[in-house]
Amino acid sequence: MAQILVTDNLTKSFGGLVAVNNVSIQVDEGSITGLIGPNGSGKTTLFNVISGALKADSGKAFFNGRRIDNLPCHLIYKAGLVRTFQVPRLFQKMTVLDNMLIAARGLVGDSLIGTFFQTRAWKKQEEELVKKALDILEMLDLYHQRKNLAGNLSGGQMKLLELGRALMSDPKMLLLDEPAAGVSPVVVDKIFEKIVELRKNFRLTFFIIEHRIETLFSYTDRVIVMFKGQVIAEGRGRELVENPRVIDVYLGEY
Amino acid sequence: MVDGLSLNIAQILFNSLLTGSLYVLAAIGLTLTYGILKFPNVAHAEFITFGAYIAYTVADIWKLGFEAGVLAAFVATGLLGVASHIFLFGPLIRKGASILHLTVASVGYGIVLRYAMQEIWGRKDLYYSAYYPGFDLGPIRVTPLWLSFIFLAVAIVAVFHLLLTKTKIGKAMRATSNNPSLAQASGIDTRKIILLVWFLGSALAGLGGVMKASDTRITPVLGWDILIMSFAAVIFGGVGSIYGTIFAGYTLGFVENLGVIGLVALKLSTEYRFLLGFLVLVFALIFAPQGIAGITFKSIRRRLSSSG
Amino acid sequence: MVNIVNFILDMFVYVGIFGILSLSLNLEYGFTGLWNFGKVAFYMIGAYTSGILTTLGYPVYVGFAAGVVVSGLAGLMISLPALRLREDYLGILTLVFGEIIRIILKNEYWLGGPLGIRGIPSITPSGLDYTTALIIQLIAITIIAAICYFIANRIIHSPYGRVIRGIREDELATATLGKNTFRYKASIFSISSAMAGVAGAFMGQYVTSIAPDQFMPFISFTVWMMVMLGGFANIEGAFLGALIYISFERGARIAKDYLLLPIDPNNLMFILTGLLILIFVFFRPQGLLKENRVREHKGV
Repeated sequence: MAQILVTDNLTKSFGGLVAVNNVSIQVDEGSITGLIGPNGSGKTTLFNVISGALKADSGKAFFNGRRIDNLPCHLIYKAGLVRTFQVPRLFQKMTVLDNMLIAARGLVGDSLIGTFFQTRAWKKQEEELVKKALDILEMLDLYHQRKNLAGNLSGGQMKLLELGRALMSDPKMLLLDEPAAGVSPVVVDKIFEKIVELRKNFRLTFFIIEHRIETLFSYTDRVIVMFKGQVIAEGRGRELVENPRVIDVYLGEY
Repeated sequence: MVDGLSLNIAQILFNSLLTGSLYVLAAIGLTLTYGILKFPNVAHAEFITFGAYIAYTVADIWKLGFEAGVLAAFVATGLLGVASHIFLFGPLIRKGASILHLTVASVGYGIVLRYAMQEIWGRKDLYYSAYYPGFDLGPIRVTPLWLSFIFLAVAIVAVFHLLLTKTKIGKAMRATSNNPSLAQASGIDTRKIILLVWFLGSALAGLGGVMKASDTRITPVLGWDILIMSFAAVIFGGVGSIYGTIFAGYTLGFVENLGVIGLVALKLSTEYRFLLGFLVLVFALIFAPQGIAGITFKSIRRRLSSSG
Repeated sequence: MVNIVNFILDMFVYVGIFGILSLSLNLEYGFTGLWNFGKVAFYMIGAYTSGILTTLGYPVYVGFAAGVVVSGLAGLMISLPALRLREDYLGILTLVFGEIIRIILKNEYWLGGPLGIRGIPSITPSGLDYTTALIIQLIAITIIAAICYFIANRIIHSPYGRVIRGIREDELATATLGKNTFRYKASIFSISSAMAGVAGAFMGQYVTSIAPDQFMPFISFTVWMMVMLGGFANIEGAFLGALIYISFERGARIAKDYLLLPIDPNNLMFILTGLLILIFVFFRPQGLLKENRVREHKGV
């Protein structure tokens, strides 16, 4: 199976603290791969570096064979690699629908020239995008909230909207940072079932940070374990449960 | 070859000391309030002007002498600063006003102050009656006034240094300036510190006003002429850092005075000497926003920062 | 009687000019979140570009076009270093930029020097009576203001407008969603600067002589006050704010002739203006009008 995301000794420090320490990982295309580790192990920082929100101090990252560690985050998004945030960074004062629309790629209306001189084109594009957004919202059971301000949604709905927004750009791979944090168990399963469905229907790759070990092990093909900035183990969920290093790290934590 | 102008290095240095002292006095208050309250106080210009006018009233209208005028300027402007916080900025901050709103409020407040002063003292130029004839101190031309002001400024810098390093209140001021919420959490009465900062900072600005006015004249736009240079000193030195501001103020004074020589040599207008300071500010904003203090102390901060 | 008519016509011409300036600032701050405290710089550049060209003999429409283009380019040029800065630093930088331009214009005699540019030809042919000329001027500024309004309206109701609102609310999130936020900020800044330039070009031919000291930072502050009065992120509010501020100012001027006050009305007017701003900051910080609501999409 092809490896859609490959990192090579990525390192990122803040002052004296090495948050990501020579991390080299590979994620298979079409897989649902998990990323776990105690608090402060560098998982979110790794996502930040891969997605371009932060620049790595050293090392490389490749997406679909293309080098991305030196690209600004908007170009990485355009390449098809999209990330969501642990605490949803939605536009609270915009409607759910507008939140979806802003995420679309390649809009004619995104430039000033296009806005003024290609009016018919972008208005037509808007109609198509609205349809697409509404379809995605429907799939995520958010259709009835489409005109509501994003700030008024419940926690779980916000998480789903983050996911929906990420889908608007027809991504190839999604980095989800705790997509089900802070939501009720029923919604957790709902979210993950959607993820499995999306993987099947759209051949997406998912790389997910998640704290709930049981959830992760039931829905993922493979899990990578980080501790203090380094990868200490990877493999199938069931094997990791018996890995002494992993047990050590978690027993030490709890 | 600089024709017609002998390079009197000593004079240039003296003038730099003078100009620098002015900028330091004007900028200390600004850097403190900007650092602690996080907004640029545009009305600070009016504090500078206010000091000059108060000194005029006490010295020349009530005829109590120039020294009394200077003292009055210090105290009165300090009180004005405190009042500004108690009645305007404090309440706004408690209401949760954004940095932008605080800045816009300081603009409106500055307008009220400027035209109130204009109403009281009129628009015409005023001059202090105190006159101290210049004399030659070696190769330098000086006046007792200039010497006094430089001495005053240097003394104030020294006192500030002692205050900040040796006294409890001074250390509390530094802590509040570095990290207001952390300071408050460690039990420092930040409200008192903030009022003290407003008093001292504004009082010094008032002194700066007297200093500049005694050298030129008192006008309603006195403070405005210095404000941008004050911002230059604040940002170049590092917002919130007193030592940075002091260093930056004297550097700017030097740049300005040395710059005059260069401008004359290049046959450009000497008005451009202010542009030099502005360009320093622009440079600092773009390339060194954390200022001298940030660059120098960054290594110390890096060692102090623990794991996140 | 005629005096009152002229007085009102003149007032509305200024409402038009400053309405355009407020509109341009609103696009930058109200919709995109950029702190531009140097609006006067682009106003000045437009006035000088057009003034210089028209006094050299070029037709007015060339002057106006050049004013627009040069101001817009100046805006673009400033964007490069400035837009990466933290908000308050951007404010200070734009303020200083205005002062730098003003000092240069004041000291370079080939650009007019402290006396500035005189004898700028106006769009109205000479020999017309004053009131008729004023009416023509008013019609002209209204057309220009309407064009600017149309441009602003199109921007805010477009996908582009959605992105700049996103930048205002959360720039990192917007960048993470694939938008080159710098490009958006630079383009809105350029077009706003171009608008300020046309306002300046118009003003130049309206007053026929311009000088550097007419372009103090106070003008930038005045525009901020108008935006705040009318309402942030409301394009009608820009003109409303200009109307309120200017009527207030003109009203005070009249009061001077009819009221006997213990205090100089000019000073009183500014003091009241400052107080008005403070009152707004305390009690109505978002301004009078709420943010423009974006049009609903069809069939939603």
